[in-house]
Amino acid sequence: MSFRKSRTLPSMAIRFVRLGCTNRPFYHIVVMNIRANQHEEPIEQVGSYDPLPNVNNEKLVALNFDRIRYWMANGARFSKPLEELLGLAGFLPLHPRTVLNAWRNRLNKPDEEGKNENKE
Amino acid sequence: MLCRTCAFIFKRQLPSVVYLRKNLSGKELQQDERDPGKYFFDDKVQALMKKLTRMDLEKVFRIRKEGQKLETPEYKFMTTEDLENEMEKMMEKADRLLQMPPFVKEREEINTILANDKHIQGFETSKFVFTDISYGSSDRDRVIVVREPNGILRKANWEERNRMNQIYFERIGRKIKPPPMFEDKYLRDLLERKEYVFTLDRACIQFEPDDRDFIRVRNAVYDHANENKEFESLRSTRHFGPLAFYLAWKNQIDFLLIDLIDGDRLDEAVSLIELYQVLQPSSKIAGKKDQIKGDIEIIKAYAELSSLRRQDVEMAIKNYSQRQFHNIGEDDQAMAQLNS
Repeated sequence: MSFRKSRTLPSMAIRFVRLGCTNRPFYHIVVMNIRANQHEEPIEQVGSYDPLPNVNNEKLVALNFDRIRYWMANGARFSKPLEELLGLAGFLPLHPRTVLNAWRNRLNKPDEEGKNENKE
Repeated sequence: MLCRTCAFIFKRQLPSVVYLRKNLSGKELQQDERDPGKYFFDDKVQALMKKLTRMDLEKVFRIRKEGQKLETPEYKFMTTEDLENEMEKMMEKADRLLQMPPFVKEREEINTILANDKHIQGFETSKFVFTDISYGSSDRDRVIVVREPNGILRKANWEERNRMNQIYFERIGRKIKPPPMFEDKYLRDLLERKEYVFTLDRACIQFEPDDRDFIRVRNAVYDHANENKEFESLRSTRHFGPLAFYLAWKNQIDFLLIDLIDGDRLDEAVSLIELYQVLQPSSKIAGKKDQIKGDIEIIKAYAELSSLRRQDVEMAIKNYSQRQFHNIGEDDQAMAQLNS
């Protein structure tokens, strides 16, 4: 019995829900049943994320860290995109995917010297 | 968690930086950098400013054109006791309405870098701003951090903090972007039209009292009012106490003093000089606090020792005593007529 229980997946996920409309994404960060559809009613909303930069070139993220800690302690699992975001916030360690993306971006957009080298 | 460790380390490093700055700055700078907040919240100073405000209930409860619906006044029959109670309540309300916006030092810039992760340089082209929206923290101590595209994680500066606080914890009447009326060009126009109370009230809503912009706008309004001797429009509002404080702080109380003497308010003039003595402990008059007695004597002593416009102040006193003399003369004549 105990063996089975330990093999079960965590029942809750902290994840994004895509709101907004066509071509204008906006995300709520919610705690919900891991198998539920994103548009079902969540257990609790713990934040929001606006992925389009504003006039000051900022992407705004709001997070209720108290509640996120609480749900973490209750065994909730983060979705990968959220894990990346929390890594950037300094709440979790930096996600490997952030590092990888940064590396790829640097390769694709090398500075002037790098370009010259490639041409030669 | 990473955040917290970094913050702890920086907190420990911070005092040494402050110490260094204090030691490097010269004596003159230190004089200028006195914290007005220490004096402002002192009970005695508060009492003096309250007295100078000269509470006028008609003006405190004036109808303000703020777009609200006006209600028809209600008339009631009351016993004397009820009336007294009601008056007491209204006095309390007036006190609350006249609560003065704090006069404090400009807050220090936030330049705390929490982490510098060079290996994620270029992960994004825009900044990320993270706001902690947990319950129970105030606008002042809320954690707001920024991740720059070059991998630096730092605390948000005041401008960013203001914006985030207004976005997630809105205050009624405050705008995310400060309105253009506080830009120098438009502010000058407002001042020329003498919209002092309007400008100051709006600034109180928009900015925190230790914001650089608030201090700039407030000082501009007070300077303009002082230069044009326009004290009447500010009197009996919550901005008059800080005006007197500002003038005493900047050693420019002469115009206000003359205005008070011309209005036959010697008691207030003496209060103003008392305020000056408290705020300028190094001035000559401050040392002679208890030696001088009599209202006119104190003002004369001030004019002699510390005033920058000695002749004007002395002229005002002269005019005042002449007026008093004439008044007494008239009174005597009236009495004589009555007796006869």
